[in-house]
Amino acid sequence: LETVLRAATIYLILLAVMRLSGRRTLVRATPFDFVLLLIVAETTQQAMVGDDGSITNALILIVTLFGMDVALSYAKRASARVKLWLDGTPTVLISQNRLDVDALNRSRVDVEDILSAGRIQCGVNRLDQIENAVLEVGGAISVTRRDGTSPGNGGAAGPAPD
Amino acid sequence: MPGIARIPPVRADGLQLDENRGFQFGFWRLQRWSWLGFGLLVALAGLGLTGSGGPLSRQHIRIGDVEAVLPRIVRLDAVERAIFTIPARPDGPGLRSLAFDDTLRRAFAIEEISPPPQRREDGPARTTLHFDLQPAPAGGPGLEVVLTLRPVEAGWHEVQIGDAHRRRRIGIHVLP
Repeated sequence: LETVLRAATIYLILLAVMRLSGRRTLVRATPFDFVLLLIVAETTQQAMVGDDGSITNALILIVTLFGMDVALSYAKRASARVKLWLDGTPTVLISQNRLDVDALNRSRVDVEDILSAGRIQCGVNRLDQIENAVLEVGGAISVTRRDGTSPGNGGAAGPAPD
Repeated sequence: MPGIARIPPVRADGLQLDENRGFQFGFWRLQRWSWLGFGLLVALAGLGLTGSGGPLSRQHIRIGDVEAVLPRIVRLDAVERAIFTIPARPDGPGLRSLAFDDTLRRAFAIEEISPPPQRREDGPARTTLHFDLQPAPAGGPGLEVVLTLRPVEAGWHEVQIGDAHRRRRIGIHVLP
């Protein structure tokens, strides 16, 4: 029972902290974030396993964690409210080539992040070539290219009017 | 399933997605408050209110002429030390005792007693440790008894500690 309780408690604490720390925290694969991920993994492993390194304990831990994951996925499918709280909602950062500065600031995304996503996903060189950019619920940024733009043309993207 | 049936609307900018900006604004506010909470927790940990060091994690008490530094907030399974300083006696050798009740034995595993007592009496309700104190000039170094404890039961524990004549009740909080 203790193993199940430990696993469930740590899972819920991690879920809450990850969610509250912001979805960008562990998506940016900077060396700092990689170190953070390793430390968090090591810390939680110790708290979950305790002194018991037996295979039985490991089996119960794994089954509990996967079981909770499956249960939460069903809960999300059954309730839009649960899904909203657990996954959040996509945030539109650029709409029709207009930057939403407030959304950028609040979600701690830089214009450089959008440009990087644009270069990788659709080969855009400049901000004015981006039609829409969305911070997805998983933390990634998806970008769509403006129609008729190619490297070398297009106007300048600016902040959205209030 | 409702999750499959829900199709996001197409917005004016052509994006087909369900952006709940109202919820997002509320959640961003909640995030900022929770970051304050993270900071507060770190500050409390620095003060020692989560155990494992820090000025408030230990308590200094006096039982007669014995000074004791005892844990106030500890963590389950984390080893802690209780230190008792018995003053030197100029009038010659003497037997001094330290006693604690059953609560301490139940909530903590006593891993080591240093120096080992001359005699140990384990009664049903309390344990008494007897130490032989060597003569020393007044004000000289006394005997420092260190109990190495490992908390085994989480929760609030009121422990009675004393010597042959006096006892004091102290509270120790074991965090899970």
